[in-house]
Amino acid sequence: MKLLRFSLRYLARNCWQTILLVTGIMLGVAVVVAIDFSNASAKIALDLSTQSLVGKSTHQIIAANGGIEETVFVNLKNTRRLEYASPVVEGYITLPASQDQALLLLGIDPLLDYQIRDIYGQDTAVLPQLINSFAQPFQAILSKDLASRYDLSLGQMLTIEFEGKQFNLEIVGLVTSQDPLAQQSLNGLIIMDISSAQEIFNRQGLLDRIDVRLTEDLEIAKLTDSLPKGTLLIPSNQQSVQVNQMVSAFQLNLTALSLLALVVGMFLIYNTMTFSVVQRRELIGYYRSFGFYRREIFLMIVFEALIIAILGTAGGLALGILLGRQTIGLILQTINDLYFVTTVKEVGLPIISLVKGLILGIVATVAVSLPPAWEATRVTPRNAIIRSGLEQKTNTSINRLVILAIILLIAAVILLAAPIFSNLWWAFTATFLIVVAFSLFSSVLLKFILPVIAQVVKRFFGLIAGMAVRELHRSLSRTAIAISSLMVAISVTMGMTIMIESFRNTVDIWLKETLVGNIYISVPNQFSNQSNAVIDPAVAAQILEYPAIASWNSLATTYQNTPAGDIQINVITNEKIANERLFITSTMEEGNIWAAMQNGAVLLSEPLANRLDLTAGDVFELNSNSGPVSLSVAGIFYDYASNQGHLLIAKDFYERHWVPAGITALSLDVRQGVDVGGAVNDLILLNQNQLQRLVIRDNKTLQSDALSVFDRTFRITDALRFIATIISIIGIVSAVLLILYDRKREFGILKALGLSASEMWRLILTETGLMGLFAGIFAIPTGYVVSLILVYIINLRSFGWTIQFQFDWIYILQTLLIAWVASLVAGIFPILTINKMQIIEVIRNE
Amino acid sequence: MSNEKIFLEFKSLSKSYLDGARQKRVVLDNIDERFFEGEIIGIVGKSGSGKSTLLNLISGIDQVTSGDIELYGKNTTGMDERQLTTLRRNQIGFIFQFFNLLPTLTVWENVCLPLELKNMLTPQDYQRAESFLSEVGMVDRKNEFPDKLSGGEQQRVAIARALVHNPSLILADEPTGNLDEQNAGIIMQLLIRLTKENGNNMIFVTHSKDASMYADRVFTIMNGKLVQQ
Repeated sequence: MKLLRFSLRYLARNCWQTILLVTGIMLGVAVVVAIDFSNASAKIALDLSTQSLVGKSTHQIIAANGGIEETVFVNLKNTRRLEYASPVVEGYITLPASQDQALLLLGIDPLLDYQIRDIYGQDTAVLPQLINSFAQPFQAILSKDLASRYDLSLGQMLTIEFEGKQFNLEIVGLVTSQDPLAQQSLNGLIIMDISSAQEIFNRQGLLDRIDVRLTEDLEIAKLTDSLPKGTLLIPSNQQSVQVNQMVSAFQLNLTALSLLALVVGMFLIYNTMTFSVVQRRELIGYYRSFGFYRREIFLMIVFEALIIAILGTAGGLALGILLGRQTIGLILQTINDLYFVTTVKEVGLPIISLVKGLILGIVATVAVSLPPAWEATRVTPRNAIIRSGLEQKTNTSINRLVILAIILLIAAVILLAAPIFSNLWWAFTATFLIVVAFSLFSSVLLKFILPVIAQVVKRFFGLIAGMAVRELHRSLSRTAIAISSLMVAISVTMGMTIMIESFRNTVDIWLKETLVGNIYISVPNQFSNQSNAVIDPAVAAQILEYPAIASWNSLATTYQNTPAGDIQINVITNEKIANERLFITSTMEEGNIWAAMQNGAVLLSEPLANRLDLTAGDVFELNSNSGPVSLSVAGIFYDYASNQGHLLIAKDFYERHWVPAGITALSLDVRQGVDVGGAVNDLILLNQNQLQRLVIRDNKTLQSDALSVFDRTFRITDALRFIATIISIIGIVSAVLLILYDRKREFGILKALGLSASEMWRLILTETGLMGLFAGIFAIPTGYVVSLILVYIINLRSFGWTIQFQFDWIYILQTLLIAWVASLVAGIFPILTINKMQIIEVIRNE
Repeated sequence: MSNEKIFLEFKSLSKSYLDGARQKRVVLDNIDERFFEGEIIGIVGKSGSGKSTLLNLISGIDQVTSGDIELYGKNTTGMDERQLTTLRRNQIGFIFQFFNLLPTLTVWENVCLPLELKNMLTPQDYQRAESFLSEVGMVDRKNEFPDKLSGGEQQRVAIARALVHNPSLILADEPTGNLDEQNAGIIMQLLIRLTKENGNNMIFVTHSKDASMYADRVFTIMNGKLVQQ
């Protein structure tokens, strides 16, 4: 108890230091909790959007491509292979009145569906009501919550939009569920009779899937045998698993970045705790001479860390929840943009995230305080006041750091190169080891270069400036950690910046290479990566009659269900496709590719080739309605449209084996001399009177829209980088404050000797500025290596694409500037404190 | 004495503190005194009598409670921080009981620091620094750092540092308080000799009874009053 009292008193007497420490932990924990909370929420949202409507179904019958003929269901039912089954037609629609959220429109047969899904509630009396509700076409039921959110009531009309066409639905029923998770699923759902849904989705006679309930393996085998060609039986949770796999790399990257903030926070704790021990060596010496055991000294320091950890972590959890509520929106937006449409926006607080944050914050803080606590136990009453001994010891241990750094580098290289460590976490671990190794090297370098720099600075800028450099060297035990922690944060920021800029630049070049048409037309779709919305053929025909069009090409996007997951197939008519793609590898001259594509050659985007583990020259099979079709890979091209990748196939060949897919996009080239902007305006005017609303954009607008989606996906990354930098600034403020406080007597002497306030400013700013500058200089090679790993290893492993590395001198300037400004800012508060200090007080303290 | 030039004058000088129990404690009580050019003044008194406080008031690193201090004809009590800094930089040389050499600077650099602050950077100025180091017997160790020196050696360097920029007044606060008897004598003799040779004034504070051996006049601080022995 007495130890705890000592710890509390020390923290209270050094309240600024305590506040900085608590803030550092708080921000670190907050970021980790926010990201974990957002990731967990996003996962729940995905699960709710994909799985909770699965209900009691165990499997789904799906078509390999296109849809299942209704007759398949009827035949299966007649053969009594399906006891519990419900046919489904579904799609995402939007409400024109409120474009902010996608809703899933579920078309079902109420007589069959109640056996599968729980969404109708416990009250069986609802069922007849439901059946009556669907007696008329275009009638829908929705959840009470959803109705109240949009201020809708029974009997009112609800306008929905699908693929640019609007439909009016009459609300004839409101449902609710006792189960909170099912209720959240319901809140993103409109339920309709299957025939009306088929009409809206233009899928007359077709089903998207049949949900079935099978209990025995034998049943599964029998059903599999009796399925017609082109249909598959898959477990009901497969989609959920696939979506979670797709999203996991993105989430893992965010988690790693959030841990960075915590790591920087840990550097800060280690730095401060080490310093607090150094600062109290004399006091600890007295304690020892009074009869304190080493164990008690150790516990006293650990108690301090524990108190800070508890305060910081508690604050971090609260802040994390607040931050998480913001980041969840950004994460779900990115998931919607890139992977999957989520209909759930808000979920409860995942307690596990809080528990993780709690454990991480407390354990990490106490863990990093153990070395300084151990150091404190080494203090003897005799050596307590010998400061030079401590610095000497630091100098000796610094030499050992070289060996440690080399070991870490070797370990990192093994982790990056060895195939058994291909998991993404190993790549992040290796990156972390490299950053730590570089920070150790920087400490060693400081030891050797600071004396030289001090000589040079003294020669050119005078004794006082030289003093600043020499002081950095003298206090290497503290300055090295402060510089290292700033270096870590800044280098990772630099690495991320180079990666993002390289990525952006690559995407920019890729867009210019790929988008060569003058005008692009597609169906409005708030889900940018789910672009299989079909242009109405009549609408397309009218558009193509526009006289200024010289030539046009179509794109039909469709999805093929395979055991390896969905494959996006882009059916194309563009004969010049080979000239408009940058190939990583190809088996033939570009001029011959289109001819080969007429006979079953296909082009694969890099992410798809990586996902399917295919290379140019390989042959693989895809199921069609008439059986498997062999396709040969003619080339693999760079592509950044989605990390799931896609396949390019010639329209003529595709239609020989599969049901023709509707056109999802048109690329138009206008006649020479025609103003593209004017043509776009004409087509927009023309479209205003058509049945289906289309998005008509010129080349430049489409490129800039694509880049804005790109920028949106990196918004959260920017926020995390910013927070990590703030923590490192707090770290350096704390370090500078402590270092300067330790030297207050020295400043007192200087003031007594006649050093003016402005000279004091210059002296301290030179010192802190140099700390920042060194951190910036060391961050440059570190950041460069981090960026190489991010670009060539982590991105490739996460998303399957190769980014073209691009380095610019501006990054070096930026890094130096951030580090330098951060450290200068960090110096201001301590200077104000030092300048207020009364000389008499510090000199008298003899 | 009345024809000699006054370099320092206390006019109704008082200094009081609030002690730990928030009680007002008068350390210097309404002192009036004059000191003349060329004088070496010794101030003695018990611990806590206000000796060091008096030096700190003269140099402007502590503030008077009431009264005035005139140093070389200028009232220092009305000076702002900048003026006081300039005064210390140009006219005062400090010697402390615990030497207070800057640990990051070598012996040579410690001595040159006041020159640097005063912008005295000519070869003659450095020559002067060299000769002072020679005078205090530390020229051979000019590249050493303070933590390698004994107390006596550190104080020798401190003397050189206090005199190098040719200040008008040397303020020495217990210059031998941390030295053994033999070293104390040597240091005091050195300090007095150099002060006189360079024509400086000096006020030193000591609890030693030998003050009269070195000072032209010796004062005792008793109950806040300055009493000449």
